[in-house]
Amino acid sequence: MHQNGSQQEFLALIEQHRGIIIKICSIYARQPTEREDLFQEIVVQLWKAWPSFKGLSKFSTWLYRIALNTAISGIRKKKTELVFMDQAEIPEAAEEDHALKKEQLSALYRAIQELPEIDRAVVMLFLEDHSYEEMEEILGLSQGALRVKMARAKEKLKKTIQKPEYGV
Amino acid sequence: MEFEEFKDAWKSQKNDEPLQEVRSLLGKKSRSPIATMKRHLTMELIAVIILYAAIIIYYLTAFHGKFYSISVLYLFIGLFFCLYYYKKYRLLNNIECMACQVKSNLTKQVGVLEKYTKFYVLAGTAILPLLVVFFYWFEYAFIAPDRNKIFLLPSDQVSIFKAVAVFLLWMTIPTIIFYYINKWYVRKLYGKHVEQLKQMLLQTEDESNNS
Repeated sequence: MHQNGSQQEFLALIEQHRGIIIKICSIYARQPTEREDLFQEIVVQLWKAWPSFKGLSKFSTWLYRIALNTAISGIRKKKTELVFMDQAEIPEAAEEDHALKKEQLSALYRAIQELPEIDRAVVMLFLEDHSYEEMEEILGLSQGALRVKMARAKEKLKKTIQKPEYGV
Repeated sequence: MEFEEFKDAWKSQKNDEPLQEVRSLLGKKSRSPIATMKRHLTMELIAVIILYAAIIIYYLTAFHGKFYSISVLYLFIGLFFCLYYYKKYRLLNNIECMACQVKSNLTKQVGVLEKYTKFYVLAGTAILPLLVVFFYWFEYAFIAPDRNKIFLLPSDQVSIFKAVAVFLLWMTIPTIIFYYINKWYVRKLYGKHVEQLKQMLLQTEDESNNS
């Protein structure tokens, strides 16, 4: 009974934070099958670690750590060609100017995928509006280092997105 | 277009993409490199236990127990293997901390994986000379206490210098070859993964030093 309750609680929290996992899968895996595999592995790792979650940190911080650790070092990287995400694979934009947003998102995802693994995590946390303090808690890099990384990543992303093939 | 503008697009994402039903994933096995290494290690251990148990039982019961000493030899070697697997399993159990900060998890993984691969190479290399020395001791202690009957052991016919020289020559070359084969094999198995982890760890360190 207790385990069932715990499982229900876990599933509800995962459902609530599903978007974070999907975004992490989208920036670390290029192919749809790789994204499915990564999504599965992240859920497996979260469920394995769930009994040790004591609530000392926020659930989202705990989830970010496990999901990023899984995406960054927990899966053996396959040598794959640089395949850009298809427009259809980009998560839908919710608003009216849907087409423009989707185009921007597509370009953004493609540009982020060209960054080194750690920079991708920094950029994602930045886009999710996390403070440098929270980023430090998740990644373990000093706030100074994170600021330097973010400034460099922004420059790189701007340059990449301005390339004609990105069409933004 | 300013980078900040992308934030709006990022936040506008709907996250109802039906990737997979989460409940059905809870019973699945992890496919991470560490989980795979643990599974391989367990399978190797089970294979060794079954194989050695069969040999031990065979020599204990066949030939009216005349060759029971061979069972003892295999029991010792089997126990040695169990210790070897235990040490490897312990290293694998401490290799990652998924709920830790990304940088400390990477540092831990690189450190333990380097220890693990070093132990793999050293144990794999040492096993050959150790087994030969053990075999000689065992033959002398249990099978043929007459030194003259044991090949290469110093005796009335073989001087100690000759015995040591031939033994070293006999052992050194195969051990060196074994070392390089082991090194190549371990590198093939884990080299790329360790390199990738090191590169990522470098990404976390280089900026910290600059700031």
